[in-house]
Amino acid sequence: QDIQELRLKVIGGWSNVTMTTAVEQPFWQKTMPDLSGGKITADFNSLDTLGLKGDETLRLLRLKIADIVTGPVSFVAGDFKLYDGLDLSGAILDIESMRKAVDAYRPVIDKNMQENFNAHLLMMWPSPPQVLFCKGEIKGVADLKGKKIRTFNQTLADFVEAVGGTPVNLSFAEVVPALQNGTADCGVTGTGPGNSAKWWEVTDHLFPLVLGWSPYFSAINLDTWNSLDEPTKAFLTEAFGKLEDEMWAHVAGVATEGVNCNTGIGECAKGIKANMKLVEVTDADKALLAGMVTETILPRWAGRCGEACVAQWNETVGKALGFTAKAQ
Amino acid sequence: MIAFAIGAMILLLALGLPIAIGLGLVGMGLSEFYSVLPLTRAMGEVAWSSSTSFLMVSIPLFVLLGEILLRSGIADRMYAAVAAWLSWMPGGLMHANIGSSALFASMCGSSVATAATVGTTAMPQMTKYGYNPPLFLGTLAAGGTLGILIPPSINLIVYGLITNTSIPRLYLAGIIPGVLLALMFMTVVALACTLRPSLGGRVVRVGWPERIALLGEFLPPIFIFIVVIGSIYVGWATATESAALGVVAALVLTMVRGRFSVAMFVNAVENTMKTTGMIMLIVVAAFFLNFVMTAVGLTTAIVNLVTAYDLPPLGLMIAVIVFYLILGAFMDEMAMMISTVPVIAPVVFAAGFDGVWFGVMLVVLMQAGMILPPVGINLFVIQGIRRTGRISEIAWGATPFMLAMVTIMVLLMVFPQLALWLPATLN
Amino acid sequence: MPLKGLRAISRYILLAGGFLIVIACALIVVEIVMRQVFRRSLGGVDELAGFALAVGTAWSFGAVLLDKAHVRIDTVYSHFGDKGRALFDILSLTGTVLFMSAMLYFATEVLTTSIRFGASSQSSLAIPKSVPQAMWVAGLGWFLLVAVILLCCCLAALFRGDWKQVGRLAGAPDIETELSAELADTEQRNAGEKGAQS
Ligand code: NA
Ligand code: NA
Repeated sequence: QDIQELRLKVIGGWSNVTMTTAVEQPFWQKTMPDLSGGKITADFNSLDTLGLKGDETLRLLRLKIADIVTGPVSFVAGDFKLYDGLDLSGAILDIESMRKAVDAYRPVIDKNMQENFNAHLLMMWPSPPQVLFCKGEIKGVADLKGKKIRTFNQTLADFVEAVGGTPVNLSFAEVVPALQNGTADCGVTGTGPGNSAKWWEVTDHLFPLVLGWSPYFSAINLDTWNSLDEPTKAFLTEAFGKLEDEMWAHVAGVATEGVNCNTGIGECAKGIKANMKLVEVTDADKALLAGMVTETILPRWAGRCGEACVAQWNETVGKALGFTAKAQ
Repeated sequence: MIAFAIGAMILLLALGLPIAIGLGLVGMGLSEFYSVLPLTRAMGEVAWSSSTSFLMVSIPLFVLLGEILLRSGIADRMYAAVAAWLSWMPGGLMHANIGSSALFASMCGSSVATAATVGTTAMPQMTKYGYNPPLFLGTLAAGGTLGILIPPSINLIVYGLITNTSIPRLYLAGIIPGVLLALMFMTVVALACTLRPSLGGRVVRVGWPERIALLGEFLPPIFIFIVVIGSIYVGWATATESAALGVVAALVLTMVRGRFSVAMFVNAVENTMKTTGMIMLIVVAAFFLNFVMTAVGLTTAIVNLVTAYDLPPLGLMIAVIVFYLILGAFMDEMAMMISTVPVIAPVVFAAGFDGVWFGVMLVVLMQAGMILPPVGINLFVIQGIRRTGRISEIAWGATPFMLAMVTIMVLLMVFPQLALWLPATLN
Repeated sequence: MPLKGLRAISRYILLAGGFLIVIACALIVVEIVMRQVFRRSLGGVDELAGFALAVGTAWSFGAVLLDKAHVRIDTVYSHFGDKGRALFDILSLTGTVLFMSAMLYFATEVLTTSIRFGASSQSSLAIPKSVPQAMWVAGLGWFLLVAVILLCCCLAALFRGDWKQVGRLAGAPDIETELSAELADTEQRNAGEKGAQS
């Protein structure tokens, strides 16, 4: 294999999530050098150790501060609303549908990256499903009425308003004390992260209604990409394809284990066993949620995103999921 | 590269450049000479990110809380009451400095704000009663650092976020070591003044009736403590938000005492912004420097020096302590935590150390960094209030308190229960 | 003295920045009350407070510089005489101008990118990011302007050979106190002499 020698500067995902520590970082520090026979190495840093918030990743890539960056997709929505299109609360209920949506939306995001950030999209993968951790008895969606629910993006706030709750904006650091003291009654986070951040210490009901997937992207600076010869590009494309598959498999595993660990039932190898009560998501709940998606969440997002953006989304993600977004 | 970074920083700071500018220029230099990529271009985004952080908003709010208490006379009276109870010991009012700092620390999550408030109250007493400036100023700089060990604490929040450690437990874990450290600071003062009485100032004798009468002066700080801590405890506000309630409580007390006026409030705001502006320029520059250092691999290189040798747990912890004492002298504590804790903490946890325990240990190390020259933020705050004399005097005066900090670190290693007992009991 | 005007304007800018923080404080309290009493949220108060912090502090930098409150380490500095100190002061201002020029340049780039993308904040308020960022950039610009004017005044004093004036403009706060004490002393003596003559 005749590939170029490269030393890539990589900014990876949050250092406190397993997607970074168990998959992404080992990939850059071990797998990639091994696969390339030592020709391709990387200087890897997590975005939080660099003191970044996550909404500036693509801007930094455009300035060529690094060759490759990973960041949360919906954090780019500050610059372009279309980046929220993969994280619309409650629209995607299982990981297979999420994969379909991601594959459908890939060209749209890549085009936006090429045009605005001088970047090329390499991979996208989800977080474990974002579900509700609540303090106090919850039987279904209807019980969320009147609850103070910690949200971290606009479409989650739309959901909370739709169920008649109060959205509370808190930084991740303040969620656990807030849940303990009752500043918030419920919080939304991934099943795995919620387990490792010990949310089960301060809540007792796990309501696995899937409210989002907080997807991540990995992108490469276009100048770096264009400077590569064809064999190297082909080699990298294949390696990233494998990494992406590995990431999805990892997340699927973490998602199931996350539920097991939080409830203390079933296999829990990597997490901490807790004893939260698992609330069953009934068909009635799903129907209620679907109604909110079509009546509130999608139209509000469509209003923010604009006509051209909505048309693109309907063509791709909408088609894959069977939704049509229309501004109110 | 390490030599360049340290050499350039010492040179620029010795030349008398403002601290923030020195840090920023070192960052630009590192980017210029040691990076193939144009890292300096990230300056704008990094500055915007770091200066819009909601956690940092509590810094000006806590400073404002202190400024209002100062202007309402509440801070002075609180200080006088603490002094009446504590200043019979050798070292006199310096015990009041430490006691007041510990008291204020329980309302305030920031070391800077604690040092600024107590420092402003205490400073006039120094000349009035003829205290030896270095040691007196040292008690203020060191006492101020209690702000982040005694809860609430911005640094414990950030640590909890990075390492997925429960913040309520961290808060509980900080209480006993915080009180103990305050007592040890007082012991240092008492020892120093017994050995060399010239260090202490004129002693003011206070009788029991007066002491009892002054107990009332503790009511306003207790009221604010109840508002700030109480609002967190009953779930009205988060730690950051509670600072705003503290400001309102202080304003209410000021009005009740008839000390409120627009001029007074404007004056409080003006001083708040001067302190905040000075600190935030340093914070922003430090975040930029930290970004460059991490991106060029300098941080990893230094961390590897500590973690690469497969040391036994005790050896590892000693290496970590030495590492943070050295690095803490040169870096801003918040920026240092953000870049090093994600790398150090997993190694420390893997060696069997408890996350809550290490959080407390780390905060004591941060406290040490805040009074270690050349980049010791609390030294700057006290110098900012004093305006005359050399900053090196403050640094010298704070040195004896390093001894207390090292002692508490040793105690924490020998008796981890000092930190872990309270969270275990109250859970 | 032309610096008097600069000082006054800088003070007003600092106060304006301070009131942004006060407003943020008030909004936080309103949010807490809304949440507890009316079970509603203003939405995005944390974001607004973050903007207030960035803008407010940027607006304070100029006044802090004129007030000589950006702390410097004087261990070496204090061993020099008037002339040496003046050179240190000018070097320190030059460094400030250099770093803040870079900061202003890259901050402006952040702003222009936000304008080009039509970027808006993440909360339901969806504030155009360019608004707080423009205010922030303006504050950094004012800081740079103050530093440049101070530097020019110092250089002018240097060419006149008025070393002490450099210390008065840009020296450590300590030097200023020493100088004004000396000045007061001289004035007193002069006054005394005058009194003796009449
Ligand atoms: Na505190
Ligand atoms: Na330090």
